[in-house]
Amino acid sequence: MPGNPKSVRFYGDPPGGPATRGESAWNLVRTSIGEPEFSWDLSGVTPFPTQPGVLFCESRSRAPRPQHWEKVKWSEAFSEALFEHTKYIHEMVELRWQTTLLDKTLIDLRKRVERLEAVRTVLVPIQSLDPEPFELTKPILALVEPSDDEFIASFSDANIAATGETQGDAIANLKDMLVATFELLESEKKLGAEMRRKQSVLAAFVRQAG
Amino acid sequence: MQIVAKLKAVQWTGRKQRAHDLYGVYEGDVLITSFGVRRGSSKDAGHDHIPKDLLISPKDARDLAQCPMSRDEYIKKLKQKGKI
Repeated sequence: MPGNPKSVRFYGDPPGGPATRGESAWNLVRTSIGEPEFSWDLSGVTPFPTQPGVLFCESRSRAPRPQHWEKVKWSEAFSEALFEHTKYIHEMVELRWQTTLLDKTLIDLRKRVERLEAVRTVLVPIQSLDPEPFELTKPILALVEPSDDEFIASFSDANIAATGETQGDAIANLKDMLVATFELLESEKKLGAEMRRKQSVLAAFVRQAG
Repeated sequence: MQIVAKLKAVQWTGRKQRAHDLYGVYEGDVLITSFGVRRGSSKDAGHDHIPKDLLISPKDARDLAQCPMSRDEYIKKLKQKGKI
């Protein structure tokens, strides 16, 4: 975070008339540019021998240099302070903008992570159909996904699915359904197009044991 | 489930009772599709996988369960899709 780079202390005679107190210069500044937002240090203002119409001020640079005051013409110090302050405001706005963007990105990422965590979709390889009297010729990849308060396990190639209260139940029930569907299709003589396709897919994965 | 009655699905009784009841839907004597319904499930409106089992969209499955779609319309839809 950038620091307010300058403190400026005014004193001397404003162009409009004699003055020996900083407040006069302060009033002059306020009349000229309105209420500045940055810090004007008017404390401890002391009279300083001035030429008529010339206003002096002290300018103090902050860290990293040790603080010290130097006498400069107020118009120069004021311009410099105004420039520095404008730069400071610009940096602040940019920083705020970057922070806002980062916040937004963070919120978006958090939402995405929450969605992914909520989905909890996993692929589970099924290696066997034990204890059923059937065996797999190759592993089946089952997709397990949550649905409301339960899980659905599906073998999409054969369009067979089953539900369960837990992921394990859903997988066990899917195995059950694979066997039941295989037996059903084996027992039927007349199958529609989709059932023939299902039978053909299952035949590539399932066979009777022994 | 209403879909079972609506489609006049026939429960298949295999070697043993399973966690899911398996139903077949027939057109004449041809088995055109099958679907499973978990025993003791409190869901009446159907499970998320049933539309897939029935080869129709979730909306069509709802229509089927809640009346707008008849069995004949369902069969017609499957024929249009070339699934029978």
